[in-house]
Amino acid sequence: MPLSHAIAAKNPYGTATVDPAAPNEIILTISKGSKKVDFAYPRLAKMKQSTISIYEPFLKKRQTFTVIRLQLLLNFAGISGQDKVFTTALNDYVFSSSAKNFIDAGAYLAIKRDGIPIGYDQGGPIRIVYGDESKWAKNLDAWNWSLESIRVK
Amino acid sequence: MFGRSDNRNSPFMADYKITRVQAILAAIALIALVALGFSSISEFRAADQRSRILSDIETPAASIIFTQRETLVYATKLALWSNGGTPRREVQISRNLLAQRLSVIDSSGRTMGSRANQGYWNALRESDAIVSAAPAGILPENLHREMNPVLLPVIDEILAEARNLVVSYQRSIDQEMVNLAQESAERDSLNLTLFYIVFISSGFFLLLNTRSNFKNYRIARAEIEKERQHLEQTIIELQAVQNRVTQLEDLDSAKNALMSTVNHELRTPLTSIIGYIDLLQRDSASLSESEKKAYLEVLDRNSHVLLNLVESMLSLSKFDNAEGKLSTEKVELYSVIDDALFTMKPAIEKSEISVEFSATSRPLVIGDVGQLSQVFINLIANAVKFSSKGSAIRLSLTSSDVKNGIQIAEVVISDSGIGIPEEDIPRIFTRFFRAKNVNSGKFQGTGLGLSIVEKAITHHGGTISVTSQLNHGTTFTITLPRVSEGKLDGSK
Repeated sequence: MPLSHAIAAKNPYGTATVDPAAPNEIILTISKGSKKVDFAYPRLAKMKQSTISIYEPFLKKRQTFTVIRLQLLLNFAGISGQDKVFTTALNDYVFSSSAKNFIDAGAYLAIKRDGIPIGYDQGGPIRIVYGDESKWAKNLDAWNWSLESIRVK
Repeated sequence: MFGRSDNRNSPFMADYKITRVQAILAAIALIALVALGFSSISEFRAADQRSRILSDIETPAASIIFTQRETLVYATKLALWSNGGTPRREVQISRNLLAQRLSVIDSSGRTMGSRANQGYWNALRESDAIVSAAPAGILPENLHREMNPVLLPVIDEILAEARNLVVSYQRSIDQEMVNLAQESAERDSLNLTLFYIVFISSGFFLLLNTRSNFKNYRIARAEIEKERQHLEQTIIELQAVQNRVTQLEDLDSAKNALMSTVNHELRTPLTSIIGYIDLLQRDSASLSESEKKAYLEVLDRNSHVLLNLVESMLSLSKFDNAEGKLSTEKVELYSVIDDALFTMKPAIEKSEISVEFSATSRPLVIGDVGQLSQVFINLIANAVKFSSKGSAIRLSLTSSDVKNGIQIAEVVISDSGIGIPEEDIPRIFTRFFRAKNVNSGKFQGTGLGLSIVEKAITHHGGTISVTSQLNHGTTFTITLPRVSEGKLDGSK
C-alpha cells in the first residue's frame, strides 16, 4: 500500500495528496564517517517495535505510536557515547546532541501512529518521539519530525 | 466571712466574647482574605504558565518563525518545480510539512493556521490546485513557459501573505499583551480592593476588640481592687480574731493568776486574822495589854490588805460598768496629786523615801476626783513599793503644748526603783499581770493597780506611757486634756 494512501487523519491546513514514492525509497539514512546505513520503510517495519502512549506536545494530546528504540538504529552505524549526532528533517531542520544524551533521553523512532503510517502532514513518515518520563519530553527542539537522516560527522 | 465560694464574677473566669459587629467584620475580612488568596494563587499560576511558555512550550514567536521558514521552503520548491528543478512529490511533501507546521498548537493555545488570514489560504489553495492539475514527476519543459506566468504571481502572493501573517501575528500578540495587561491590572485592582477590605475590616475588628479588652481590663481591675480590699478586710478580721484569742489566752492566764493571787492574798491575811482572833478569844485572860495591842494591829493590817484587794477589784468593776460615762466636774489636778501624796505620806516616810513634786501650773481637768486620786495613789504606791530606802521619787505637773488642738496637762512620775523587764512593759496594764521581777512573793500586789490607772486615764480621754530600765527605775507620763489653767500656788 502506498504510504500516502494509508493516511487516515487529514490535516485541516493541508493536502493529503502526495505522489507515490519509488519502491523501496530510502526514507532514513544513518551514517558515521564512511559508514552509512539506509533504511526504506519496509526495512524499518521489520525491526523490533513497541507501542507507546505519549503526550504529543505539538498537538497537545495523547497519541499512540509504534516505535523503534533509537539506540538500536544508532548501533547499526556504530554511533555511541560522545558522538555528536545530527538529526535532520526533510525540511532541513537540524537538532544535534551527543549520542549519550539521545540514549539517556530514551529516544524512539516512530513509524506509525494509531497503527497506521504517519502522513507528511502529521510529521511523518518517521519522526523522533520521547516518552512522558523522558528528560526531553518537553524539549520541543529534540522532537524532530519528518526525519530524513541521522549523521555523525 | 472569710472569702467567697462564688467566683463567677472573677476576672480570671471571664469568657472571651465578640460582638455581632465584630463577627460580621471578621467574616468580611475572612472572605476577603480567602478571595485574595485565590486571586494570588490564580496570579501565581498565570505567572507560572508564562514562565513555562518561555521554557518547555512552543511560543507563538517560535511558531511564526518556523511557519515563515516552511512557507519559504514551499515557495522555493514551487519555483524549482515550475522550472523542472524538482519532482512534484517534493512540492507536495513541502506543502504537507507546511500543513504540519500550521497545525502546531503554541503556548497561546492556538495554531498558526488559525491566525492566517483569508489571503494566505487563498494563495495556498491556488497553488494546490495548480500542482494537483500538473503531471506527476518533473514538470515537462514544454510546460515551463505556460506554468511560470500562472505560478509566479501565486508564489508572490504566498510570500506576501506570509509577510502579512507576521503582521497579523504581531497584532494578535499585541492584543494578547494588551489583554494580559488589562487582566493583570484588573487582578491587581481586585487584589488591592480585597486587601483594603481585609485591612479595614481587621482594623475595625481590632479597634472594637481593643475597646472591649479595655473595658474588660477596667472590670478586671475593679474586681481585683475589690478582692484586694476584701482580702485586707479578711486579714484585719483575722488579726482581730487573733488578738481576741491572745486576749482570751491572757485573760485565762490572768484568771489563773487571779485565782492563785486570791488564794494567796485572801487566804494569808484571813488565816492570820482567824488565828489572832482565836488567840485573843482563847487566851484573852493571860495576854498582856501590849500583846493584845500588837495582835490587834496585825488584825487591822491584814484587814486593810483584804479591803485594798476588794476595793481594787471593785474599782475595775466600776470602770467596766461605766464605759463612756464621765463626770463633768472640774478637777484641779494639782490638788489631786497633793492629796495623793498626803495619803501616801506614812508609807513614804516609813520607806525613808524623799518626794519632789514640782508644778508649773494648776491645770483643770474634767473628770472624777475619786478615780483620778486612785490613779496617783496607785502610781505613788508602786513607786514607793519598788524603790529602795533613801531613794527619791519625782513628780512634775505641767501644762504642755497643745496637741491636736487639745490643751494638755502632763504629769510625770519617776522613781529609781527595780524597773520593769523590757519584755513585760507592753503587758503591764493587763489585769492581774505582774512583772517577772515582782512576782516572786517579795512584793505583795494584786496585778490590778496599773490596770485601774490605765482604765481611769483612758476614761478621762488621756494617755499613759511608761519608760523603764531594769534596776534603774521607771517613769510614767500621763497626759490629760485640760479646760483652763488655775493660778500657780507654788511647789512642794
